[in-house]
Amino acid sequence: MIFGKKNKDEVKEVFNFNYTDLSAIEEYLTLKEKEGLRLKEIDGEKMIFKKAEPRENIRYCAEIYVGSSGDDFLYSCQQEGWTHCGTYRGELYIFRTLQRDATDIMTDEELKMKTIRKRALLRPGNISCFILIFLRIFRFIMDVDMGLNESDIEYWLWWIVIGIFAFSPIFILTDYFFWLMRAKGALRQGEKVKYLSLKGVKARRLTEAIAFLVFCFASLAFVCIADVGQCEDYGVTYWLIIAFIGLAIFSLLSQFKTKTVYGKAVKILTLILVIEGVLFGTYMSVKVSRQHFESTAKIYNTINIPFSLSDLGYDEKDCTDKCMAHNITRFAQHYFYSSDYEAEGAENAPPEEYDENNEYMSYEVFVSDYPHIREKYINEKLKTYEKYGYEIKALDSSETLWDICYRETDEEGEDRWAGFAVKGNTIFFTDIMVDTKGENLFETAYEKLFEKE
Amino acid sequence: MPRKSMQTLSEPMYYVLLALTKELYGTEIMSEVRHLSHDRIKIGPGTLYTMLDKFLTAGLIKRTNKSLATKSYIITLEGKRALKEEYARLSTLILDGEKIMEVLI
Repeated sequence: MIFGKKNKDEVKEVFNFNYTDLSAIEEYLTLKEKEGLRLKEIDGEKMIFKKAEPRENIRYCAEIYVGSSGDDFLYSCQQEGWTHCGTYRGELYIFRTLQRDATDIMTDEELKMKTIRKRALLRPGNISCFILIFLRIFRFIMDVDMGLNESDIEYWLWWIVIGIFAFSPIFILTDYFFWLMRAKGALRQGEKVKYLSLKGVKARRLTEAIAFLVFCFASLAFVCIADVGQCEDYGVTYWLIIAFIGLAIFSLLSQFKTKTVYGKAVKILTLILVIEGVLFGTYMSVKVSRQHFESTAKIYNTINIPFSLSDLGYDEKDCTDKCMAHNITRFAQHYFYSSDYEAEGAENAPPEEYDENNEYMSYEVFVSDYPHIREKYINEKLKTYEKYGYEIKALDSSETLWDICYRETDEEGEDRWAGFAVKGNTIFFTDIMVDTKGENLFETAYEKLFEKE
Repeated sequence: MPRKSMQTLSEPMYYVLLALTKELYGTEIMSEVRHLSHDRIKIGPGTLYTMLDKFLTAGLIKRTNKSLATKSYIITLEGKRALKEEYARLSTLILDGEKIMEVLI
């Protein structure tokens, strides 16, 4: 990739090789030499070329040296006819020579392979990716412990994020292990160890770019198809994946057009990617635990309901009239009490103890954009009724229909009903105690108040 | 059967230790090895200094201050012991094969 020119006589490129690509590096520099660009130095992750008259008989050599005698090593190389061009990360040295009979810098195949074997695995880029992946997986495991499971979209989103960050290191590692197997085989046979050629490196980059693009598109398709609702973090995910797709496309195209300048666009994309990644990671990290719904849902109980039936799409007068007809004083903002219950302030307070002669109704309204959270709310509510042996019925949470899911028990001859009605992202929960006469107030009231659309 | 590190020496390692029976700089070691092996063994600077680092870690050689400009090295007692062991091992190989080689030749 070409980053842009510092001055018209210099060209900068990203050092985009692995430590097992020594032959490819030498080939590449030789090609550059023929194009009239000679390696001047390596600055961080950039190779800086200067324009120069091409020389045919120049030979480049890339070697790894990690010892403590760097200066002596360079001096000895110079004595053997090698000119030091640059050093990448203090351990990959690049030399050139015009002498045809200059001694190779590394003459012991086994020693060379062992040095590269260790350093190729411990490259700082790999280590930071491994740490990032480890932290993500650790966070993911914590979320699973707190209730995140396969029915949650976030479960799969975490795998996508881990996959995106793990993609490049996995490719590098796979490439590395294949090379190691071939190298050991060659040494056993007494042959020279082969390092990936420039053609092999280009094929690898192309494969990686295509595979990454396919992975990003698959992730985007998954997020689009899954039941994501209208939540902000899904929006962030869309942008993150789209940014990665953009980067993958540029990476793929740059394999074909080395002279076209993609550098600035890739820089901007990379910056957007990093910022989005940080924001996304921070957002996901501070997200509320699955055990508490405060930030992802609102629970309205009988005391603090801020809206009326009309907010839910019902005619309040009509509902109130129907409640009155069944000895229910008010609805949607307070507990219902039978006309027999005359405690002071009873209209605004729940009964302190159950009186079997009274009929009353309590309810909650629960709102969440997450389908899996709505299901969890229902399951948590139902757990409190487990001792009564409730049976679960199917719950339809479609956007246009109210449906009822209720349980019943015959403990001590008493019927107790708990009901859920779900419309869109709203769950309506009622808990009715009926008197021993068996009158099913809930069923009656419900049929009258909530007619199916 | 896998060998321990430095248990047996490779050919270049053997010649480097031989060369370091006298105090030498890096470039001198490369020349001395070529001389001792009659130009058969050529050690590159990368291989040499990697080897020297391993020898230093194993205690077979030590750094000396022959000059301030560059480092020099010389074999230690431990290095001499390892060299003698390797020489004895190679001699054993020759002796063991002598009788059979006489027949073959």
